[in-house]
Parts: sequence; C-alpha cells; structure tokens
Amino acid sequence: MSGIDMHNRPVLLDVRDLTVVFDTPAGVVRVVNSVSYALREGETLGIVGESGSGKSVHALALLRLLRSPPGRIASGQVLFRGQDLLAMRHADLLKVRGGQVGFIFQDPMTSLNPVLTIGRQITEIIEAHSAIGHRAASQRAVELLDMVKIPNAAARLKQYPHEFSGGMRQRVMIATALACRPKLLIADEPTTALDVTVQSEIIQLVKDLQKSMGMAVIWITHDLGVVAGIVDTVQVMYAGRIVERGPVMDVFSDPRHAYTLGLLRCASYGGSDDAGRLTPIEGTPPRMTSEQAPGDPFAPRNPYATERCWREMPPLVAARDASPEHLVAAWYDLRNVTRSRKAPS
Amino acid sequence: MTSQTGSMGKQAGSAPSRPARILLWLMQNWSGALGIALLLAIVVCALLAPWISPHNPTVPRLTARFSPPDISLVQMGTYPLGTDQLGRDMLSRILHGSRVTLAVSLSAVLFGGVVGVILGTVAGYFGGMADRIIMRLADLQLAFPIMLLALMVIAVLGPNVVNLVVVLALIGWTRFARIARGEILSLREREFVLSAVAAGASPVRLISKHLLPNIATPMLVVATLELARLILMESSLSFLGLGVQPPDPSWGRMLADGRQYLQSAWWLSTFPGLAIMTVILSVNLTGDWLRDFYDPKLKGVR
Repeated sequence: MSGIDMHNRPVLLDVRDLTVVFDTPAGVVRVVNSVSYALREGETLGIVGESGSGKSVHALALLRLLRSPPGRIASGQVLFRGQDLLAMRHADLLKVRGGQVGFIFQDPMTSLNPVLTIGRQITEIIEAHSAIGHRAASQRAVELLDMVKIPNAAARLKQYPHEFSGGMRQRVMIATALACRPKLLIADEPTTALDVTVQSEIIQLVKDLQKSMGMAVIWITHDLGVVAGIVDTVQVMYAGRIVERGPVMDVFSDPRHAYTLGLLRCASYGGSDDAGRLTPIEGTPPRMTSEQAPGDPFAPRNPYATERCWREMPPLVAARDASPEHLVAAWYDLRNVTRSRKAPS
Repeated sequence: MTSQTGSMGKQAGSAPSRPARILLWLMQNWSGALGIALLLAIVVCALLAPWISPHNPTVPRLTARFSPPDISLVQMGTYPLGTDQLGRDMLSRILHGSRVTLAVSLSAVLFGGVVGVILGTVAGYFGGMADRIIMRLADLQLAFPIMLLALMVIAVLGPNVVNLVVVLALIGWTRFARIARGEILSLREREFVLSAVAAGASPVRLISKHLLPNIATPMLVVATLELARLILMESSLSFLGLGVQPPDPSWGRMLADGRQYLQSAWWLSTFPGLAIMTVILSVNLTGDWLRDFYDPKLKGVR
C-alpha cells in the first residue's frame, strides 16, 4: 500500500480532541490528552509508546470500553464513518463493537472464556451480530478457523481454550475479531505475550488478512520492529499526547522528536552513536496529575530540551522540511540540536 | 461373565482394565463415592416409598404399639424398625418422611439458589447502589436469628409445606448471593470479559453466556452444602411442630414424639435421628468431594 493512493481514500475513523481522565484519590489524572488523528480506510496505523503513555487506554476509549469509574472520557469525538461513537446510543454501539470494529487483546491466555468451547465463543459473536441460524454460524466459524490457519478446524471448534497453545489462542482471538468482517481492527499489543517465532506468524497472518479483507488496522505496540514491518503510518505517544506522527519510513529515517529518537536508539534501529550500543532513555514517564507543571512533559528526560520546552507545551505541527504528513510536537529542531551536540565532541 | 471376558480380551496389555480403573478411582475418592452412593440410595428409597413400605405409614394399629425392632425379615408383616406409640410402622414412616424432607429441602435450595444467584450476580455486576442494597439485605438476614425468623413467618403464614419452603429459601439465599457476588466481582476483572464486551456482548448476554457458566460449579458446591444445612433446618422446624403437620410423617416430628418414650422405647427417636444424620452425612460427603473435584488448583490435573 503506497503512501500516495492512501490520501485519496475516505476517512474511516476521525478522532478529535479525545481526552480521557482517571478520577483517583490522588486527583484527576489525564491519561489521554486531546488526541486528534484520522485513519483512512485500509490504512495501518501503528501506535507506539512506553507503558503508561495512554496508548491502550485511548484504544479502549474509542469504543467506550473503559471501566467507569475510574475512567472518564472528558471531551472529544470519535467519528467512525461519520457517526460519533462517544455520543451514540448504547444499543447502536453494541452493533459497532465486534461488528464493524474488531478488537484483539494482549494476552490470549486470558482473553478466551475458559468454560465455553471455541466454537461457542465464535458463533456467539456471529449470532449476536447477524440474524443467521446456529448451523450457518457454525459453518462460518469453521471458515474463520480455516482463515486464521488453524488445522482441522471442524474438530477444533469442539475444544476448550486450555487445549490450545498461546499462538493458536491468539489465532482464535483474531478469528473472533474478524467474525463479522469488520472495517477496523484494533490490535492492542497482540504479540507481546507470544514467542518471537509465533509473533512473526501472527503478524504475517494479520497482514495477509488485512490485504484480503481490506480493513484498516490500529496496531498498538511497543515493538518498533513490528511497526517497521507492517504499518503505513506511525504515531508516537508520550504522556497521553501524540508527540510525532507520520509515514513510517519518514519517521524512522528522520525522527524529529527526541522521544522518538530515544525509542529508536533503545531498539537499535536509529543511528546510535557507537555501533551496536543501545541507549536507554533516562528517567521514567511523568505522573499526569492535574497540577502538572506547564510545558512539554518530556522535557525532564530530554537532553535537547530548550528553555521554552519547560515553559510551554508545543503544538503538533508539520515538521520543517519534511513531508506534509510528518507532524511533530517539539520547539527544538532535532536535526540542529543533534548536529550541534555532536560537533564539539 | 462373558461380556467381562470379552472386554478383558480387548485390553491392550499393560493398560489398566476398566474395572481396575473404576476400583482405583473408588479407592482414591472413597468418601465421595460413599456419599454419592448413600445419597442415590436415599433418593431411590424416597421415590419408591409407596411401593417398598411394608405398611401404611399413617394408619395406627393400637394392638401393635411399641413393638420392638424385629430384623427377622423372613415374614412379611413384621416391623423391622418397630412401631411407634400409635402402632405405626417406623420403617414405613421413615421412608415416607424422607420424601417430604428431600422434596422440601431440594425445592428450598432451588428456590433460594435461583434468587440468591440472580441477586448476587446483579450486585456483583452492576455494583453501586444495587450492590449496597442487596448486600445490606443479606447482612440483615444473616444477623437475624434464623429460628426466630422461621417462627415468625410460620406463625403468620401458618404451618404447611409451601410456607416451609418459603422460609427455608429465605434462609438459604444469602449464601448463594454472597458467593455469586464474589465470583462475579473477580470474573469481571478477567480479560475475557473485556474481550466479550469488545465483541459487542450486551450486559444480559455477557451475564447469561459468559459469567453464569463460569460460576456454575462453585454454585453447585454451595447448593450441596446448603442442602445439608436446610435438611437439618427442616427437621428442626418439624421438631418444633412448625413443619410438616401430622398425620404426614416427618423425621423431625418423629424425633420429637419419640423423646418422651426414650427410656422405654429407644427406637422411636433413634431411627429418625439416624436417618437425618445419614442424609446430612451423605450430602456433605458429596459436597466435599465436588468441591475438591472442581478445585481450581487441581484443574490442570484433570
């Protein structure tokens, strides 16, 4: 999928100014902070960030899946094919969940119901979303298991989750998520709990299915290798904000936010100073309470922070001398600071 | 015999034969097996009571008052467990009494169980105000002396079988509600619930298709233990004259009636007491075995 024809596709998901807060005894915590972005049909968006960056919470908030209390969507709109999911009637929302939007979770060992057969869990979803009978639903379940490449599908349907391995369970989860041919698949770290070899199988499977079904995918991960392999657009989140966003190749080859650069260095994808040496990002993510200091939340961990970073929050704007889709929230120009830092030494 | 040799022939060498495996299982679970066997025997006796009783349980035969137990089963028409103060056959009365005891306590467990599970599930799933009201109600119920409650209700509504079931269900629902609530609370945090919700399950669907099947086994264990408690409770109420009314036989009543003759005719109280003890023992053994069988820590072994 080349970047050029992508921009002609209609927008599937339009997130506007989404803010999610958690009411805790210590105060109101802003977990997702006015996040706005658009996803086109068939596009694959990778969302990366550390634990606690708000990437999973934001995905749950899209479908109003957050436990409330403590989670609360403070503001924003989530337009899915023009309809606001956040303002929608609950009954309509149930049709979108699992129908037009599929969800895959991180841990396949716990995301299947232990007392129901695999077949029941898949037909359950099909029957909930369409008016077809039990027999037709069973047939569709066999097709789905074939589709996610589970051998001997008809017999496997009668088995319970504990009879499946982790990778097989994640395939089942994918089958349930795709049961109703969704337009959008949200995958929340679907490979984190799996072996590396199984990971690549699952990634390839999702990639193939996406191509054949023409759906959009939001892939939430902290694995930059996965991102480089499958996504069109990458979006880096830090402290509940989007700090950089753009076509994956642009962002990886020419990162403009110090955090993105840090992530790439941690994973040895970016040009690290001495070859083969991984560079950790110093410090930990900030606590996002309401009495948070003004300015860029990454400033305390940022070796390139300017004085303005400490005072003012930078807006997400087009990066200088880059493609118009490449957005960054930084006061500094990372190209200049890295160059000037290197020069004296 | 022939079928056994046939099956023996099919066995593949070292693998234990089917009878051997059953024997092994019985040795490992002897208490559970004993409980189930006793319970089955009692249920069969209760069901067949009208046909296997040697005498009519309610017709007095004053010429045969206080006949001692006579276990020479050679002649029909004797009294294997003796007769009571009105000359009624004890064995027949115990057999018939088991029908009432089992029917009343089973329907009370069923009734209380359904109400308790529904209320506990609602409290656990929806939380908030519903949870607070239902659980305070259960606390109130548990804090109130059970016998006093039973006496009050029976005194107001009058002693009969239906009211007895109502009272026992009223006593029994709290345990179901508390355990169901706890189970639902812990299930709610599990990821498969979130993934079911993300797949578009409505609250009703989520509860009926995903949560209730998951609490079925603990509820079954609670039901057996509760059954034992309610059998004892039913006997106690009948003992006090608030349960099944004469002339219908009931164990608690027989126990009470036999008390004054304990010195001269020991069998009047002893046999009903033994019957109560046997039923409760068998139910408890079955319940304990079920609990071990469904213990989550042993789940992988199964």
